[in-house]
Amino acid sequence: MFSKRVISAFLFFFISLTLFSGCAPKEEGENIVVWHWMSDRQDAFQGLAEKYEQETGVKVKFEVFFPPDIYMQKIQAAAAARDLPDLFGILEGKKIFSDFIEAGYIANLKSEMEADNKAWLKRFIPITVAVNSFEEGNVYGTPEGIYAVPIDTMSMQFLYNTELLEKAGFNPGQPPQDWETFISMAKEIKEKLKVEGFVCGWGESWLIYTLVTNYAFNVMGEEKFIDTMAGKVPYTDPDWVKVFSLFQDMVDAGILAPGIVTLSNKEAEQMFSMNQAVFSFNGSWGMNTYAQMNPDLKYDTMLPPQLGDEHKIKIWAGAGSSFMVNPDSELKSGTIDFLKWFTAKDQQLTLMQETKNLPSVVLNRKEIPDFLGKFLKHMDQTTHQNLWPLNEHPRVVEAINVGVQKLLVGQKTPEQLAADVEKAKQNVSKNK
Amino acid sequence: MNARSLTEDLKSFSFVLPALAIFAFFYIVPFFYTFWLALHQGTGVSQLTFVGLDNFKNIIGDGAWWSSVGRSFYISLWALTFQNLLALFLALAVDRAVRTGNIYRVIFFLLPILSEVIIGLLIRRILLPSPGVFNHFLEQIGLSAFVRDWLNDSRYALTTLAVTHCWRGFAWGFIILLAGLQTIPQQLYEAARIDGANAWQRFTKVTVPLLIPVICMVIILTILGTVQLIGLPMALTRGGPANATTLAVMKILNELRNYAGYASAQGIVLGLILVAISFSMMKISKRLNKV
Repeated sequence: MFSKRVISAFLFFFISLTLFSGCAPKEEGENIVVWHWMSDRQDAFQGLAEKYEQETGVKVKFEVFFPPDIYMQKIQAAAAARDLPDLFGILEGKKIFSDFIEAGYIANLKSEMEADNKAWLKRFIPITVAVNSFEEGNVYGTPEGIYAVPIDTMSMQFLYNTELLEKAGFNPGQPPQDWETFISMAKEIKEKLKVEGFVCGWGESWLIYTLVTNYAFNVMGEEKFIDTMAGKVPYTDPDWVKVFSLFQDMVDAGILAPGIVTLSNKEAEQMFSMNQAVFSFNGSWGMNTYAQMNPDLKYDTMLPPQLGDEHKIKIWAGAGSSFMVNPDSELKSGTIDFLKWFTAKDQQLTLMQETKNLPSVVLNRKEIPDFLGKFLKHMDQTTHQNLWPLNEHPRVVEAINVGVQKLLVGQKTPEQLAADVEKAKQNVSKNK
Repeated sequence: MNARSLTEDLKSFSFVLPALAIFAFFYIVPFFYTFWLALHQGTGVSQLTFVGLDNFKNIIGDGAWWSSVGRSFYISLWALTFQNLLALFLALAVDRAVRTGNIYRVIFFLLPILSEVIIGLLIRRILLPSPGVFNHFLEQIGLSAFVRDWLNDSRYALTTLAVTHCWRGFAWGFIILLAGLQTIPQQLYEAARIDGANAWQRFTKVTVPLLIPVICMVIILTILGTVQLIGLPMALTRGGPANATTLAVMKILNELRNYAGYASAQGIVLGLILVAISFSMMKISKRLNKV
C-alpha cells in the first residue's frame, strides 16, 4: 500500500504539472513552430526544414491541420487564447486579416522587407506582396504595413482542353476570345463529342463570386464596381444585370456540366482532367489534380472570354499562400530569418518543383516549367479582393452566390437576382 | 465537522479535481463563453462589441435562419416516421428470431459505424447525374419516369438528404427498440395468448404500452441527432443547391466565420428548442406510463 504522503505528493505533482505546463517559457534552441493547412505540401516543407537545420542548426517544425475550415477554427481559437505559433497563415479576406492585425496577432514586416535597400522586398512578384499589405488610409484603419510573406502565388483563369478542341475541328491555338464565340464553341463541341461544355466547382460559392467580379471589371470597369461596393451604384443597374445574365447564357446554351451547382472544386477538376469537359474555370492549384488524375491531359489557359471592348476583364491572381509572424513569439527574430531563407531563390525553386505551385519570387522564365508557365500568362490583367480599397459585405457576397445558384437551377432570372442582391445590400446599409 | 473529516473530504476532492478541471475547461467554460459571445458582435478575433440582446432580436426576423431550422425539422419528421417505423419493424422481426438476432444486429449496425461523410460521398457518387448510376438503374428496371436530378434539383435535394439520413441512422433506433422488446417478459404474451388475444392485440395491448418509455427515448434521440446533423449534408450537397439543404447547424457554422456572436445566439436558440422538445417528450412519456 502506498502511504498517504506518497499519494498526496503524487496528486500535488500531477495538479501542478496540469496547471503550469502551459505556462512554461520557451527554452533557447526550441523549434520554430509553423501551423499550416497545406497537407499536399507538408513533405516539401519538412524537407526544407531539415535542410535549414543542417545549414543553421535551427529546428523548424511544420504542423499541418486539414481541412482548411478546421485549420481556421484552430487559428481563431489559438488567437483568442493568445497561443498562436511562431508562424502561421490565415485563409480569410482582408477584413479578418485586418481584425487579426488590430488584435495584435500579426507582426508588421515592412521595416524588415525594406531594410538593405529593400533587398527582401525586391525578390517578390509585386502583386504577391501587395495583397498582403495595407496602404496608408485604408478603409479598415489598419496601420500601413506588410503583414505577411508570400510563399507562392496563384492565378485563376479559364482552361480549355486542346485535344477536344482539335477533335472538334477547332484550332487549339485559337481559343475563343469573346463571350459569344465561347458559348457557340462550347455548344458545338458538346454536341459533336458528347462531352460537357463547361465545368466549375460552383458548389463552392467563392468560385461564383470570383467569376462575377472578373466580369464586373469587364462590363462596368473598376471604378463603377468599387462604387457599387461603396453603395453609390445599385446592383439593379443594367451593367450588373448584364453580368448575372452571363450565367443565364450558359444555362440557356445547355453547356454546363450536370450538377454543377453542387460540384466541389475537386470534383470539377476531376471531370476536366478526365477529358469530360472542354472548358473550365479554375486556379493554378488545379495542376496537381490534373497531373495526378491524367498526366496526359492536354490543356492550356486563356482569359475568360471578353464581353465587349470598353473595359478589360481582370482575373484574380497574386494571393497564394502566405505566412504571418506572431509578434509575441519569443523566436520572432529567428522566425523572420527563417522566412528570408525560405523565400530565397533556391528554396522557391525546390518548392515550385515539388509542389507544382507558382513561385512568389521573380524567377527567370526559363526556370519555370511549361505546365506552370501557362498560368503566368495574362498577369498584366490581374486583380484580387485584397487589392481593392474596400470589400463587399459578406451578407451581400452570400446573396450573390446563392442568387447565382438559384439562377442556375432556374429559380431566378438575372433581374430577380439583381433585385435580391440589392435588397441584401440595403439591409446591410440599414443595419450599419 | 472536525479537522479529520475535513482532511478526508479534501483528500477525496483532490482525486476528483483533475477530472473536474478537465470537465470545467472543455465543457463548462465553453458553455458560458457561448452565452457571453451571444451578447456581442464581432468575428471572435477582433474587438467584440457588446450589443445586449440584439443578436436574439435579429434572429426573430431572420427568415433564412428559420428556413434552415424548418429544413432540420423536416428531416426530423422523416426520421421520426420512416426511420423509426423501419427500426421498429426490424426490431420486432429480429426479436422473434432471438437465436439469429445477433447476426442481424451486426448487419444493421454496420451503417452507423461508417462515418456520415463516407456515406454522403458514396451516395453522392451514386446519385450524381453524371455518370448517373442510380438513374441508369431506374431506366434499366423500366422506371424512367422517376429519373431525377436528385441532388441538384431543389425540389428533391432535401428529401434525398432525409432518406439518406434515415437509411444510415435507423440502426440506432433498431438496437434500442430491440433491447426494449427483450425486456418485456414472455409470460405476458403467453397470458394474453391464453386470454385469446391475437397478434395485433398482443402488439397494441402488451408491446406498445411497455415500450413507451423506450419509444420516447428513441424519439428524443432521433430529434437531437437529426437536428444536429452536419456531416452528411456537407458531403452530400454542401448545403446546396442554393441553400436548399442548408440545415440549422450548417447555417450556424457558416455564420461563425464572420459573425461569431450571432452564430452563438443561433446555437443557444436551437439548444433551447431542443431542450424544450426533450422535456415535453419526457412529460408525455411519464403521462402515458401513468395511463
